[in-house]
Amino acid sequence: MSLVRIAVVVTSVALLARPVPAQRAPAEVLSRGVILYEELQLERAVVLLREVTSPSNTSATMTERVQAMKYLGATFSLLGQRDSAIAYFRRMLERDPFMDLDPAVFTTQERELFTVARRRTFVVGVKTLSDSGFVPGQGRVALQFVTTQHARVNAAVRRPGVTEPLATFRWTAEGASVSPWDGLDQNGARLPAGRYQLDVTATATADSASDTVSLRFDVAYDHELLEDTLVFDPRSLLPERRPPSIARSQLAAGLALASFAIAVPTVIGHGNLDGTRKHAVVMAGVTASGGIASFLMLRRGSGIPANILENARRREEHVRQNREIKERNAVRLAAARMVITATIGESR
Amino acid sequence: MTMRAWAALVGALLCVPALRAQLPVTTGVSVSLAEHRVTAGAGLERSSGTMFGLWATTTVPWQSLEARASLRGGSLGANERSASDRDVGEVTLGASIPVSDWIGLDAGIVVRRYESALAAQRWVWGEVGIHGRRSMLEDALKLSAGLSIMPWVSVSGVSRPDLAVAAHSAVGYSAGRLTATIRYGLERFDFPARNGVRRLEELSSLELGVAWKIR
Repeated sequence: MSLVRIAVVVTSVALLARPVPAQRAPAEVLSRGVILYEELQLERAVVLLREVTSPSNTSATMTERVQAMKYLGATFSLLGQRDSAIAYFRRMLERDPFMDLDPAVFTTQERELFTVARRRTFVVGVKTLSDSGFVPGQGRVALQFVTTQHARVNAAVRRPGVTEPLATFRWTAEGASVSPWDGLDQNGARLPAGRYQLDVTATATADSASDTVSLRFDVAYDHELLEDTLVFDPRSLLPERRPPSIARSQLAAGLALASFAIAVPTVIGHGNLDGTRKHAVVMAGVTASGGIASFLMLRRGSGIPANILENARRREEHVRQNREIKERNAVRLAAARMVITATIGESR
Repeated sequence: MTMRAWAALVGALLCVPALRAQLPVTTGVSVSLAEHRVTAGAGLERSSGTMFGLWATTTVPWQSLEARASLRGGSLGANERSASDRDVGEVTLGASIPVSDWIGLDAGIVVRRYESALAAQRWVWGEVGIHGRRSMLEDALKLSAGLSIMPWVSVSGVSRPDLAVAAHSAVGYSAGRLTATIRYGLERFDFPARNGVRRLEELSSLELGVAWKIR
C-alpha cells in the first residue's frame, strides 16, 4: 500500500467516524442521558451519564456531575446492580449533601437504595438561602444545614484567617435544618458588613463519625438612606472680639461729650448772667467716667458677650442637629436588614 | 391746674394709648437741681431749688419714633434780696426720631408756669433740635448730647425773645428693666431791649432719674 493510499484511508475514517463524546456539551449529554433513563434504555444512559462524571471531562460543572451521579445511581438500581447504585448515590451525597430523590420521579426501589447510601455516608452541608434579609436579633440567619444522619452540629463564625470566633452556636439535627443563629455576635452586637467564614463540624450520634464544611459569605445591610451630618461653617460665626480701636473710640466719645457739657455754659449760656457751672462739671465728670470705664473694660476684655453667647448657641445647635441626624441614622441602622450572600465559587 | 391733674394728663397722653397698643413703655421719676437766673434791669435775680418729675416714653413702630411726656414741678428759692421765691410747674410733650445710629432729631412743646407772691407767668414754646448718642458697654451705658432752638416762644406779659436756645447732655445706665439717668440742661432766652433794658433768662438743671421699663 502506497503512502498516498494510506493517507486517503486514514482521512476517510476520520471524516466518517462519529464525533468524540467528550467534544459534546456536558449539559446536552446529561439531558440525553436522563431521557434515555426515562425511556429505560439504561445501558445507553449509563454510557452518556458516565461521560459526564468522567474526571477527564473538565468542562462538566459540579452540578452536572452531581445530577449525573444521581441518575447513574438510579439507573444501576433499575439494572439491579445494587452496590454500584449505592456507590454513585454516596458519591453524590459527598458532593452535595442536600441532594434527595423526588418520590414523583424515582421509584421506591431507587429511593430505598438512596436511603441505604445516606445511612452509610455521613456528611454535613450548608448553603445560604435566597431571601430579602432579616433584622438581626429578631430572626434567623438565612442559612440551611443538612446532615445525612442524626448528628450534633457545631458552627463558628469567624473573620477569614482569624482563629477567634465571633459567634458560635450548636444544635442537634437530622436531615435539613435551619440555623439557630440570630445574626448577632457573642456580645449581642451586629456583625459589621464584610466577609466571614462559617466553619461547621457535625458528629454523628450513632457512630461518632464526623464531617466538616466551611462556607464563606458576605454580610451586608439593607437600610433606609442615611442622612449626612452637617458640616459646621466657621463663616456663620459672629466676631467674638472687638478690634482694639473700639476702646479708644469709646473713650474719645466719652471725653468729647464731657467736653460738650463743659462747653455748654460758655457757649450756650449768656456771659452777663454768669450762670453756674457746677451742673456742667458734674455732668462732664459722669460722662467722662463712662467713657473711661468703657475704655478700661474693653481693654481688659475685648470679648463681645452677646456674640459669644450667640456663637455658643449656634455651635450647640449644630451639635444638636448632628446628634439628631446620628440618632435618626442609628434608628435606621438598627432596623437594617441583614443580607447574607455566599461568596461566588464557594462550595462545600 | 393741680399737680395731680397734670400727672393724669401725662398718663392719659402717653401711657394709656401705648399700653392699649401693646407698645413698649418706660416710666420714670426724677429729681432736678435747678438754678434760674434773670436780669431785667434790676440786677441779677438768682433763685435755685429742687424740682420733682414724672415722665414716660414709648416707641412706635413708625420710623422708631420715640414719644415722651413729662411733668416737673418744684420751688425755686430766692438767693438774693432782689429775687423772690417762686413755684414752677412744667409739662413737656416731645418726640425723637433717629436718622442714624448716632444722630436723632427732636421736636416738642413745653408749657411752663412760674408763680410767685407777686405774679404768675406762663411760658409756652415749641422746640426743634438735634442730638448725638453713643452706646457703650453692650448698650448698658448710653451717652447723648443735643442742641435745640425754640423758634416760637410765648411768654405772658413779655414780648417774644429774639434768641431762645437750649443744650443738654445725658447719661443713662441700664441693668435689666431699670435705668438710672443723669441729665444736664441749659436754656437761654434773650429778649429784645425795651426802654434800653434787655431781659435775659437762663435755667440750668441737673436731673437725676430712675426709670422702669414696664414692657
